[in-house]
Amino acid sequence: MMSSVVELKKLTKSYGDVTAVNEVSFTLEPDKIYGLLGRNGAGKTTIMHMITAQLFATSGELKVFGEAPYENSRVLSQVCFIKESQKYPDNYTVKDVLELSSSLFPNWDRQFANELVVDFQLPLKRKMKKLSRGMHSSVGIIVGLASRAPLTIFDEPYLGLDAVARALFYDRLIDDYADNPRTIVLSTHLIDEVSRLLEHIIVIDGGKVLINEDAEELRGSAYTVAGTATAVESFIAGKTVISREPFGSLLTAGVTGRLSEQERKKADSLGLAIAAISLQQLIVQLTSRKKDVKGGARG
Amino acid sequence: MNRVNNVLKMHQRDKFAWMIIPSMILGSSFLVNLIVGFLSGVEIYTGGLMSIFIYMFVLGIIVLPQTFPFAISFSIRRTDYFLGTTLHAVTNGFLMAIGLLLLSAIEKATNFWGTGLHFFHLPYLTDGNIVQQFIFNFLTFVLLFFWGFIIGSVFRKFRAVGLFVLTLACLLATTVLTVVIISYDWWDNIANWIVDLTAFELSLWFLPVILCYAVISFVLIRRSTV
Repeated sequence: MMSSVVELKKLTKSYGDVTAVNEVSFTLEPDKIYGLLGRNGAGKTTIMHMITAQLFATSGELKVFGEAPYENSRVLSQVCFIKESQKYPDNYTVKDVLELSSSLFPNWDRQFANELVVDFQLPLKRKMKKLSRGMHSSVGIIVGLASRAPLTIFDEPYLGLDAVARALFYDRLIDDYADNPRTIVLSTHLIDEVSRLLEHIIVIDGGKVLINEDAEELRGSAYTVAGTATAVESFIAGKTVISREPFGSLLTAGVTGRLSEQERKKADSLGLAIAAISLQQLIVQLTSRKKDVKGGARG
Repeated sequence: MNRVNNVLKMHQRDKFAWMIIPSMILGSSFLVNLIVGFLSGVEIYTGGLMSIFIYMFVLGIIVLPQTFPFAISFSIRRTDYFLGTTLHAVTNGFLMAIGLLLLSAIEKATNFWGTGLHFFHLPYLTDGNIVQQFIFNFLTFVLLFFWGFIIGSVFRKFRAVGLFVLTLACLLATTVLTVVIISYDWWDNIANWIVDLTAFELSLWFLPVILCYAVISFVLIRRSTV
């Protein structure tokens, strides 16, 4: 049995003197849903392109299903990578894309694909270049789901999709995942929308791994404290504070770390409200901190 | 083989680029010539047949931007992409070469469409026997396809800068060659040699060029990214 689906060791990609991905190391285990999160230009797409052998790493080691992915049909036939800006041949219809996918992906489920076409209300005979932005994205989503590839990667797959269609995608994904477990990587900015799906989270920032942690662990690793400024200040003294949002005489602070029973009582006695921090807030705080520091230094 | 077959399927699905457009181009060129021939009543020798050969060149250029990013993103290996695309283009060239022979035979049999229009059955091209005529058609198609294909590959690997450098290099090479030919007074010999070549002999000279183009595009495609 294979220990890991993807293994990155000090993977680096540089363009001239710009380093897009800087010594990134992580592993993806089989049958888990991963969130690959980070800001625009953090290097997520570059990493995913390297995993699928569409881009070449400058240095470092990369193994997918235990082997190097470049020109490796054993690896590539098990991978399905759906990206936001996917190009299709100009004359291709929706049907052409789906029919071809059924020959390209060994686990393709034709019936599932047909159901999804109905769900997403796609016109099969329409040419890809005549589809609206949302429909274009739906085709990618259908291919990604119906391919049932042991490693399925979605990179911002839903540009132009409305909330209903996105919810449909999450529902179908989670339903099908329950019956056909596989490794799924979701890369997205809509962190709160997908946070219930994610089992493990990798945050990339500035070409480096910032966080690589179990989703549950991460959710419990920070909280917010709200109350009068003085009470909050006394409570957070000595703690790692990641955010501060004053509002009049009130203050809301984000704090990392776990809350002990003693601390909880202390907060109660001070009249402070403790709340769980959302994954999105947490990641926004963590990935924007650097910018704040820079801004401060400049000012 | 199954994987190369998938690439064939990918191209076969694009009937528009490989069948409908070339038929339309050749058909409309033929139709215009036929009408002119019919109205004028003069015997016409036309180069309208060129259009289909030129289209093959254009197809060679556009096939990469049209299908390569798609194929690579859909888990197709670069090697399989190259082999499948080559196989598809060669098969197409083969069928089109036979098609042109048939049309040429029909043209002759109908006494040049009854109007004296020489569109498919042209002097020089039809000098050799039927096999030689076929080989000329076939190799010309393949040459033009790979000529386009190598341009597409250079663009894929090195982008606009690469294409620009390549164009400059070609211009420079042609200039140097011309200067050498003039200074050594080789013009007469070269002209005589070309004039003496039959269409069939000429097409055999395409072979090494096709091979060069194919090998270089293969190497470039193997290193191309999306």
